[in-house]
Amino acid sequence: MAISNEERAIRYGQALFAYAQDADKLALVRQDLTELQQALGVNPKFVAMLTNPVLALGQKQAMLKAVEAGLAPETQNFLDLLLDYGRFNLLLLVIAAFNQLFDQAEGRASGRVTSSVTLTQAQLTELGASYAKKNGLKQVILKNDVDPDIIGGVVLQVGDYVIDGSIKHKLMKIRRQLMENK
Amino acid sequence: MSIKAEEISSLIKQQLEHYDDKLDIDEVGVVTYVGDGIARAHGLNHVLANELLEFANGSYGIAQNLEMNDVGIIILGSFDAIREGDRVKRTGRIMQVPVGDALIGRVVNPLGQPVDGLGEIKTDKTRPIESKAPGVMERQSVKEPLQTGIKAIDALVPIGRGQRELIIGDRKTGKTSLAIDTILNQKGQDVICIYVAIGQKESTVRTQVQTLKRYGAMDYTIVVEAGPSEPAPMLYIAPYAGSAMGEEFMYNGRHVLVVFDDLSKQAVAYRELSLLLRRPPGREAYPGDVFYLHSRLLERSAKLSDKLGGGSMTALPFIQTEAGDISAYIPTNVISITDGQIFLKSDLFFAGTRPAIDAGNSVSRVGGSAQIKAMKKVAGTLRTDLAAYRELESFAQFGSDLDQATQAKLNRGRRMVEVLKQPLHEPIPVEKQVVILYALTHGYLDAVPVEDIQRFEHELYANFDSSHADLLATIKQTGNLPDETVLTRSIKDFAASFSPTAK
Repeated sequence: MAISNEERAIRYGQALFAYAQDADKLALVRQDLTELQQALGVNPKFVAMLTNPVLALGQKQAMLKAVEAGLAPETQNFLDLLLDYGRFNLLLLVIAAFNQLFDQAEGRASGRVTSSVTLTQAQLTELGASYAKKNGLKQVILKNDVDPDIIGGVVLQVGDYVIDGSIKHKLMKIRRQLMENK
Repeated sequence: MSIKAEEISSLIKQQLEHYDDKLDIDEVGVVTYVGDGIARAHGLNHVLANELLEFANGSYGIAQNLEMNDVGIIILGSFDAIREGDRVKRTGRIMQVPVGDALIGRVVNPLGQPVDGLGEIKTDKTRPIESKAPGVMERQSVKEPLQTGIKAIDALVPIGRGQRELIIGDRKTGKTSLAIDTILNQKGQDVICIYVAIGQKESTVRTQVQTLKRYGAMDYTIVVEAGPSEPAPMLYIAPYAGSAMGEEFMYNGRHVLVVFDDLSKQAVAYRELSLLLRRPPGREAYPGDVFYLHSRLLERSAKLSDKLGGGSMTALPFIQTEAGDISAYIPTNVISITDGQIFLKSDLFFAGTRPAIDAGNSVSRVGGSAQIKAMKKVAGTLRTDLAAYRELESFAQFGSDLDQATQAKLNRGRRMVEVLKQPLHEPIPVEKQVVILYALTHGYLDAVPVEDIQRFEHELYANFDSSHADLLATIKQTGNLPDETVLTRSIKDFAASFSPTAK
């Protein structure tokens, strides 16, 4: 069975990570990729153009050279490689895979906090710090979502894990218990 | 009826005292596809194969395909309210069904929930639907008979407790009737019966349940029902759920008979799931593990060693063939898994030979060790005699001037076929079977006209019941033939007094 794009992206991401690590340029590459990601967000046509089969490879390479000037040589090499192998469409997935490896190596994670009222930055930092301490991480960066439906408390989601401490969830639990025990 | 408000609030208060206010840490994924009884989810990186998952609407699913960042899930129950983007969370458990005595007499769905409207099932015992079959040291060889009450089976293809005997045939050849009759005959034999109806019309199941009730067989029977309108996952898990319910009794030293009606429909449901889960199709578009689907199910029936209580689970799986083709994929698979098969033929069925058992193609690999001694004695040569008769019959159609010996063989053969016929829902106890087969093999029926055989049989039973109950009791209790001179004399006396119908 053909492997999925996600699996491919993870392989490229791992390769890039190992390459940058050997060159001791992890932070720099990470920064480049973050900038690239933002630029692509504004300019989604760029990837479409570089994956367009109508254009000759030489033309695409020239265009990429113009864009990647100013990035670290490691990043440049990697982008050239993606283009040559015809995997430029995976770029965003590769960046995501790279970021995940980077965060893992650094002991960092990001997540979302849902609350009924907006939380202050200090509260977010405190929540993040306590989660990080419990799970052996160094830093947890949290973003705040506001959802009045949950009535009170917070719902914390980091990666695949959800800690649900909302009043809504508790009420649902009580309801279920009452229904089951009739 | 009046309930005071205080009572209610005190009740609720009581309940809330047990409420544990622990934080729930769940591992979740996000649904990316849902439809046709299956869903795919992104995330759930640590989920285990066959783990039970819970959807946001309260439905459950079973993790099937574990791929990178992607899990294929089969949904148990309603999938209407599940939307793309919903959360699905791990439960850390595997699928279980309620088991125990409380289920006896009930009609349940494959999740163990009652569908007969008789209220909830009060049992706190559960068992996982998938469990490992007993190993070599936990078993012993099959040695006790499971009396089906059907002469043709008990005499020709005997079934033992713990055996797996396939019942195979075209549609409308009496497969289900065989099973129902077998269940009816377990009355008072200390055997729990489980009838698993997979993809059978709800009206048919209703009729079967009515029949079981009418003959008092629901007192020791559980019906597990997954109708054709249920989503494919329910049909797929139904036999495993039935087996789990049976295992509970087996491991407690009791005897169980479980009927899977039918496994072809389960294979079709599994094929549907597998194709939707994008597993590569193989022969007849069945997935590669369709053999394992049935082998792991049927391997769970066993005769346990005495150390483990000596319980047993006998399985009667059904397979429906198309135009008598037993060499299709699923039939050959299941034939090779089971300890023999009972082949039902539509020609025989329509010619009036019911049960329409094709003696030539039916075998029981456990065979004689699953028969009482008396039956072994009287039925020993029946199979070969019948096969010889079938051969001779087609040969004799061409010429009429046959020698004396051939004529005699044909005569005996016709009577043999007549004796093996049996009406619906009239199981015959083994001791009576022995008597009529004794009369047949010793030639006491040769003088009776073929059309009077059935009447002769009935009157012989009545005669034995009233005048020779001691002989029947001997067979039943010792398993051996009684004193043959007495037996011969009683049959001879009766045959002499029997008056054939005037033409």
